[in-house]
Amino acid sequence: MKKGIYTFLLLAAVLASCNDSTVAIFEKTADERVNEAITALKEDLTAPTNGWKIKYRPESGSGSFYVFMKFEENGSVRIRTDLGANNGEFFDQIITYRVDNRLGLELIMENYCFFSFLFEQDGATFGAEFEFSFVNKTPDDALVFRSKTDVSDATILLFEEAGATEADNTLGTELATNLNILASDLANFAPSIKLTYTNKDLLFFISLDNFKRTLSFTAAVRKTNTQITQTVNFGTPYTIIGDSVVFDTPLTGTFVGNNITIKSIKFNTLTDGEINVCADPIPIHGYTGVTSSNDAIIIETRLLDAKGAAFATLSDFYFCPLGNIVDNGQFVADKVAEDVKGAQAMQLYYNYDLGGGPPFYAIGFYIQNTNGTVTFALREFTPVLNNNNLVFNFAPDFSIFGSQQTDANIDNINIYLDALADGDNTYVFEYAPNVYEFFNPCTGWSFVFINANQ
Amino acid sequence: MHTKIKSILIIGALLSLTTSCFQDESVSAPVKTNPVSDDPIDIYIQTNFIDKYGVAVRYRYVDRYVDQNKRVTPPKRELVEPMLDFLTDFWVDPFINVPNGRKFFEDYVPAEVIFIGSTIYNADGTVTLGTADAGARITLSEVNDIDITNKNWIFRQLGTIYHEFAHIMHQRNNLPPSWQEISPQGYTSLGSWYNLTDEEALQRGFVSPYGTSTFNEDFAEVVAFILYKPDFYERYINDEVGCTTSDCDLRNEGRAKLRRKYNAILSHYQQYVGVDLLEVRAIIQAKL
Repeated sequence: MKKGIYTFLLLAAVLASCNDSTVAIFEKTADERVNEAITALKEDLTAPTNGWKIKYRPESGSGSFYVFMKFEENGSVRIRTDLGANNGEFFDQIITYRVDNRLGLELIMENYCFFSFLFEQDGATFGAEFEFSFVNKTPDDALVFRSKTDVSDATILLFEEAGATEADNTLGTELATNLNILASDLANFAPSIKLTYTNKDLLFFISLDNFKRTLSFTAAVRKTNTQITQTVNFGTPYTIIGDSVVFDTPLTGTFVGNNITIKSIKFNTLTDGEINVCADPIPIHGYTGVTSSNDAIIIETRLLDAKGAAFATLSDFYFCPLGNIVDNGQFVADKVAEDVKGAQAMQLYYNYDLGGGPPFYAIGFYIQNTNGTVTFALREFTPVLNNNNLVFNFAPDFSIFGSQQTDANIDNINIYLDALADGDNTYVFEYAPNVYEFFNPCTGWSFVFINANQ
Repeated sequence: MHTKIKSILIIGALLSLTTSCFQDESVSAPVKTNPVSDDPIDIYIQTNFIDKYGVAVRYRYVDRYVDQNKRVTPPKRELVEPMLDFLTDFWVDPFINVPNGRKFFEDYVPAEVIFIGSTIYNADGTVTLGTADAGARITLSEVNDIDITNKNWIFRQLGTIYHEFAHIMHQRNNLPPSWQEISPQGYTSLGSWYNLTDEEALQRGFVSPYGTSTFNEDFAEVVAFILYKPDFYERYINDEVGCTTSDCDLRNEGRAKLRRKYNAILSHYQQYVGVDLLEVRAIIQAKL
């Protein structure tokens, strides 16, 4: 009996000890606390008079962009950058933003902008982002965000308070525009640029990626004797600051007898020029500048690509998916499929061993017929390769391998071979390792072939 | 006596249990309200879509609108209103301007339309043009490519809109009677429709390879093609005359099946919602 009474008293004491003050751990509801956190972050974002400055590197191998953002209480944000794409669309933009709460506080750029443009590059595989998770506020009142969409190695963004004239002094919109103009001179994917020293017997061949902000030096050549060359394998991300391109990693070394160091290049004047290989001159540009070592230079678009000719030795078989055929910037896969019914891809046999006999050189289409058979419709050719200029010298007729009966109109293949080889003006550029762009500057057509033996 | 005391103790304990905590706790929670936006685009949507038809158009990026395995970008602000006008022109107006069409549109329009700026990039490198979720939401991609002089872009958008809108019809009213019996051998096994060519699909009695994937997709594809394909009759309904090849004969066999589907769909819309799809088609074609 006593045991029962003690149990009762103990139970009553435990239950009676419950009261509001111990259960109500938080004085406010979850919604109230979330709203307060959102409001606080929004207040932080809108606080700086001149907004924020961010040095933004979308992914580890890319260069960096300076970004200036001024957040307003009404949910709009002004974003200023020097990304020169889309005719300067991203130099100065006003979009809407949202501070939200999911697993934590987030900053979302709600409309298409500088960040989403970069996010969409390379089929949305380039590691940019437009959704950010808030990390913390530093002791000196900077804000730290982390990419919400990077699968690994998440980009960290440090928002630092911007000075009154810092955006104007930092952003290199004119330089970015001029570099875009120069890189677009030939409307091909893999522009080759020549960097010439005006005070030294030296020029470099370089390639430039304006969106990823990377520079590659591929070869050094003596100006006075272009037979003296040196292979260069140097690449660096870069940042634009005002009128200068600043290398992440300086170029240092001895190149065809010249001791060279480049940490940055300050650019001056965009000049006009032309290339005369077609019936009409092709307008191109040069851009004068001074390196960090005080050497005067000029960069110019060129058809010569020191690495382009290497395709001939790298592989004996290349293919070009229909999606890699481009007419003056327009992808024409649908038209090709219409003209050459059943076409799956172009093929290029270059010094191919057919199992005895002379080496096989041919280019044409691989065709899937509706009856399940396959046809290879190829034009054989006798090549002459002068640096990266490939002259085909086609045989008069097609060689048909596989099924002789095909749904395709074989004659239509000549539409594309003519676009490629017109005027013997096919130039080969290295687009990426094992990927080569066959470009005709006179027709404006590009065919991007991939090494099939990889 | 023991039992009596025990009972009193238990009752006391229960009373204590039910009264000792949170005597004044209320279950009423504050009602959440969203402030009315004064953004001109939001006002435009409120006036022309939410108030009129009860359909909300989402153009500000919210990641939960898209499968987390897909990568997309938001639309450009300046292109949202042109895209809304495009929807009004080619979706709303053609339906509400035919007899019974307004009621049909208001009753069947999905609750949400999502605008995506880019194409929808899938993890495997392919892209998706548009999606619909259980008749409640239509997602339209490539808004940033809007170009009403570009027939390819227009057809891609219309194909998505009409296709997804047609799904709501069969979700509410089932498929037309005997639909499954028209071309039962023509459907493909799961996930293999993309191995077919347009020609093979036609020979099987379908307007597209995707239509062979399920009965429902077949229905939605035919409805969409009826509405927006300018050459619908030449390509899918009218027989080729004087066939001299087996392929030609097979295409005509496919067209015979498509004529049955075509008639079944027209009757279905007439019977359940009183809308003549051919009148809708005529309005759309006049705009193209």
